[in-house]
Amino acid sequence: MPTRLSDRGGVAAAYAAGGVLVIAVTVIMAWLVWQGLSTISWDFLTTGPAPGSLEQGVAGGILPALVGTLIVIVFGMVVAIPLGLGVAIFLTEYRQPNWLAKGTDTAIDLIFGVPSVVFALFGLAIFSQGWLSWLSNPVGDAGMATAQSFFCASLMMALIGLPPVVRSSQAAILGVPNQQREASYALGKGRLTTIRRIVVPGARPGIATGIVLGIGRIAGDTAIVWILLGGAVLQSPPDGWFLPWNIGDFLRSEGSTLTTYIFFSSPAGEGNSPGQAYGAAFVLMVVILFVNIALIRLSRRKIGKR
Amino acid sequence: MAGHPAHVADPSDLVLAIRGLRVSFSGNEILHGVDIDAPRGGVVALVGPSGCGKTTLLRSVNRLTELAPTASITGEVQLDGSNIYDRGTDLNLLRRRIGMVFQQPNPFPMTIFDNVAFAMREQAKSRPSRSSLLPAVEDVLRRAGLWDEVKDDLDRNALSLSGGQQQRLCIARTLAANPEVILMDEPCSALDPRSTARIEELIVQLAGSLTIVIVTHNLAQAKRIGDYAAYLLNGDVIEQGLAQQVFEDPTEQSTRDFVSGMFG
Repeated sequence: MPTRLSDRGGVAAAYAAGGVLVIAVTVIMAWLVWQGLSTISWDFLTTGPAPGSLEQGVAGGILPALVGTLIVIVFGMVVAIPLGLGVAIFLTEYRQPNWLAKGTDTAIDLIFGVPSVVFALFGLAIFSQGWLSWLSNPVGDAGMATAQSFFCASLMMALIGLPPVVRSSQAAILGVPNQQREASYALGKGRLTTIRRIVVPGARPGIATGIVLGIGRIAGDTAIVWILLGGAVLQSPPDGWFLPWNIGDFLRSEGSTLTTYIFFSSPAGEGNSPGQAYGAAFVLMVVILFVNIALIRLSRRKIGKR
Repeated sequence: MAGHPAHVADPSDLVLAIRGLRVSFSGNEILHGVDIDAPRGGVVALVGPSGCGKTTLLRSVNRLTELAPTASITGEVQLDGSNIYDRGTDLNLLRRRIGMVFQQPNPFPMTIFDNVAFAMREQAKSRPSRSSLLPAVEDVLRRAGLWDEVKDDLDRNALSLSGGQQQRLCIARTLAANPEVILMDEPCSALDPRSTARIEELIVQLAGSLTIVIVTHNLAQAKRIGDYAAYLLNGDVIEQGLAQQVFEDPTEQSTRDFVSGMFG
């Protein structure tokens, strides 16, 4: 079959676009693995930064940063998942009153589009109010708060984790065939039961995708961590921070995550130890990858025995 | 009227009486004041050309029509003498009393067991256990003529069944709510002839213990299974009565043209 030249050109361009993307990603991944793997060791994962690592090239581990990343993910998503799912259900199954639905839509788009540093700045203004000092720590007698803590950072993280959860869940809920809702109504089930038993289970894979994307956004954010968590890279958590009676104090204190650790230890930051940065970047990548695979697997639960 | 169908004990005992039902969507009237009688235990076939409003009529009997925000409905649908459109009608209870089987088999993406148990499990608190539901599940699967085919596979995904089996599962699922009336919207149109024959057999078996109102495109099917028939055209009931009379000796010219296959 004769092919027009412009067709062949289009096909070639499509191939080239795909090829460039695959090559770029492969190179980045390979570079990270190659650079990062040599730094990874048990000590690297299980110790804090060594005292004095402010000086160039001084070794230390990433445990506090790794724990910090996990904390903001968990706390951020604990808020973002139920809220996001609720918003998605409102926007798809109810949409009444219309002005509220439209307003919500716009708000989600705004949160999606505005850089997190803007929200971080706003958070600093809010969380530094004295009456919110239980989220961080009071500053002297001035009736102010530090506004830098895991609580403060996680609350803002919930905000930036929200839009992907909403949008993915929304698309998935719309994808549940109307026939199934009608079948449920026709069996005498109300709206809430239908949503709970038919719509949400049917949308599970899409909801999981939204959660994965939300986690990715939170784990990748640096601005909020720097401004609302303090980016205290060198500060190791106090001994026994994980004990129940210490955890509250710990979550009200400053900390760091892998992103701020990477920035700090990269040649662009004060630490200037690229090996550490690559190691941490590799760990961050593995964490995200692991969470992705686990969630997608879980959401595709098979029905029945066969 | 000549003798009445075997399923029907008393033709004057109407389980459903539709009176002056008007339905419009966005001001566009689809049904122009429809009256239909459904004697208890009978099979009522609604026939008519595409777009005559028979599906809308059916969906107005279990109040699914109003799920469309643009729908407006006036007139009465009396179930055992009381109007289902009265304020204060418990919609969920109504839809358990008037079940529905759809055109496309639409089992839930769950196991066969869970599909049937769905209607039996009441809201949240104290969900009945599987073993306590099993006898009832078996009973409705037997009544739907599916038990022998699935008894060893109750935990299989319902979507792995064949189309005909899926439709019988949907009938079983509807029976599980213990309805007095089942509405069927062209239940065989997506099925092959053999599956169709099984569903027809099933409809005849179920009649008597409950009332079936079936919309069908298939005149031969309406003749085979209908005790009563109503012929709709452009949103009006042209003729209704005993199926035999409507199909073999219609009084209206339009009905005569339709049943003789001149259009539709």
